[in-house]
Amino acid sequence: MAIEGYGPPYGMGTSSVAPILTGGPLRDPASGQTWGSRRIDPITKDYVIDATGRAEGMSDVQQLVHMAVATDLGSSAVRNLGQQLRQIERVSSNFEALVTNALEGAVQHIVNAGLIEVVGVVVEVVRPGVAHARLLWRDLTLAPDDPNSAQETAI
Amino acid sequence: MTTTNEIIVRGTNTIRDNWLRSVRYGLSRIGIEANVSPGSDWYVLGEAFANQTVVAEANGIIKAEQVMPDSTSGDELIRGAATFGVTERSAVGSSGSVVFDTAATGTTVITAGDKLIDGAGLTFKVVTTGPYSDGESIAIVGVTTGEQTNHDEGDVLRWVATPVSANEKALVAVGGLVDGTDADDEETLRARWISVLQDPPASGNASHVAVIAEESSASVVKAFVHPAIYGAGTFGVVVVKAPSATNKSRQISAGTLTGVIVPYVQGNLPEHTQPITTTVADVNADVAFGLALPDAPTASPPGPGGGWINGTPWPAPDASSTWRCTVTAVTSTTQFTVDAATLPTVAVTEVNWFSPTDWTLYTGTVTVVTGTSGAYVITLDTPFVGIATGSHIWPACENAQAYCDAVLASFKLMGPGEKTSNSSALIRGYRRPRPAAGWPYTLGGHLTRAVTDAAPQNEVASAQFFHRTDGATTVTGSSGLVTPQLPATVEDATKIFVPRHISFYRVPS
Repeated sequence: MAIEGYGPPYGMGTSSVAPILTGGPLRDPASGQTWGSRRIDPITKDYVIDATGRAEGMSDVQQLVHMAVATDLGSSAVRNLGQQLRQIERVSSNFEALVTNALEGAVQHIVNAGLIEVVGVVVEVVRPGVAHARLLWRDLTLAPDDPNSAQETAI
Repeated sequence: MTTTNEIIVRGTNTIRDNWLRSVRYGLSRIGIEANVSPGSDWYVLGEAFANQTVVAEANGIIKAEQVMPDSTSGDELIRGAATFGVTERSAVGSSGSVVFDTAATGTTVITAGDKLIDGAGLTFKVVTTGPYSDGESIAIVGVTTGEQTNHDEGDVLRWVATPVSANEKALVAVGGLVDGTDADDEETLRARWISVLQDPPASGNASHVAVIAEESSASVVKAFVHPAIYGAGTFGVVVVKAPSATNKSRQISAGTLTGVIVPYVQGNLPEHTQPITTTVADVNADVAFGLALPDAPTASPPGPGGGWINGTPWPAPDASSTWRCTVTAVTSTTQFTVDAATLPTVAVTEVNWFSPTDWTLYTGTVTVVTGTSGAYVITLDTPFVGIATGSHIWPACENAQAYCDAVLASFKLMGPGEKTSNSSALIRGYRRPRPAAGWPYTLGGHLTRAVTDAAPQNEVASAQFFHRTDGATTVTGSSGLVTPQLPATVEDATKIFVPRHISFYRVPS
């Protein structure tokens, strides 16, 4: 409603109209499916924002596993969330067992919730003092023949 | 309109879960089932948010407590009380005299301000310059302040600069150094503030006169007022001091009364009023309680413990013909006669005595017993220093010290009795605050309540009176009251009960 002589009721001047956002919130760019979790970039550890400014999505289980594996135990507000890989001080003969225990322990609450099963842990020592680990897991919320059910999270 | 009855403070989990519900509900409205399960980013954010918010909510409770007079403390208490014109009273030094001891034949001029010190290094000074001769009293006051400056007659002070020919020592004269008082503690300040709120002082009412009297000196812990007790335009003002750890007297010295309090009260009231300001007369009160405490494991049948130490607590008044057991003769600090009817058990029976001189609880085990019923001579393994005839001997119990402390604290909050029984004078002149509103003056239920409330483990099932006496009135059993005797005239000091012999016995089953 405009009052004669006083312009539009939104203030002085002519109001501008924001463009309608395209896309959708929490959408997986690969499948176009909307998820309940915001996508986290495993490299930058930040949320991924699409071209329209909306947060991209990722599967709930994927995010739970990522949060558990990427968080140092005791470093977040939830004190019991995360892994203890930083406590492994040297690459010794039982290094692979230590890494396996650390990663399996980190996702134990997700396993207990019946959301995933751990398939295995692959540990690769690149050079003395540097190692890569990959947690292989299966998403139990998807059908066994679903191609997305077999997953791996690297650290 | 809603009514807020209490402040609700949520815990971390409740705040987090409320927050997560909001997120889940908000996203659900646009068709997204948000993942808020433990370990999700929402969950971590919610937990972090809750960790911060819970502190603010908890502080709300603390702040609410800080603004209530009965629960505030520290700077908030001082600030709140000051808003109503109630400020902390500072500590004052004691006053009295020392005896001048000199070899000079004539007089020696002592100058006001000349210093003396006591054994603890506390400083006193001469009040008045003048010529003093041998044996004459010299008025002094404490430069150091606080209760610690009080001294009994005969205590030794030393001159900092000894006058020519004088003894460097000066003994405290008759009456001692008295009325040294510590600054208001929190509870005293709180009590004064609450009193102002409950009974606002204004326009020369009784509460106003009491506030004036309490402001006059830190020695006055409480003032009581009897309006129109002596006729129209008169006030009876009764001032009391706080009992100390070693001296339960409530009397304020005559010097402080006439030199400080009386002129202050008179000067702050209109000239057409006539305040009659007195202190109180101490009346020793003896109280024997009957307690229902848990029996000892060695009792028959066995009890859970935590109460009486012995299976058969001794002495044991039967609460029908005997109501307490007293010392009737003293041989030494470890051997005395008790008017108990039954025998103690040698090497087992433990007894208590609460000393009315140093207010220390003594406990000893009976090692030898002779004599006959009503006059057993017991020997203890521990000296009861200062034991005298009339002292109450009572059976040892686990938390005896707590019961004694509670009774002393309750006596500390007692006030003086009435000025008269004349009904015409009492129409207006009964004591304010009235005993039902605070500062009771009878040996009544406030004492038994104090004992049951003070029980550290709620072990006192019930407390009752066995024997109460003030020397003039004696009441046995639970019923009846012991009320302070009236003064001879309304111009005389009213009487106030102070504790003397305190004891606790097992209620016979």
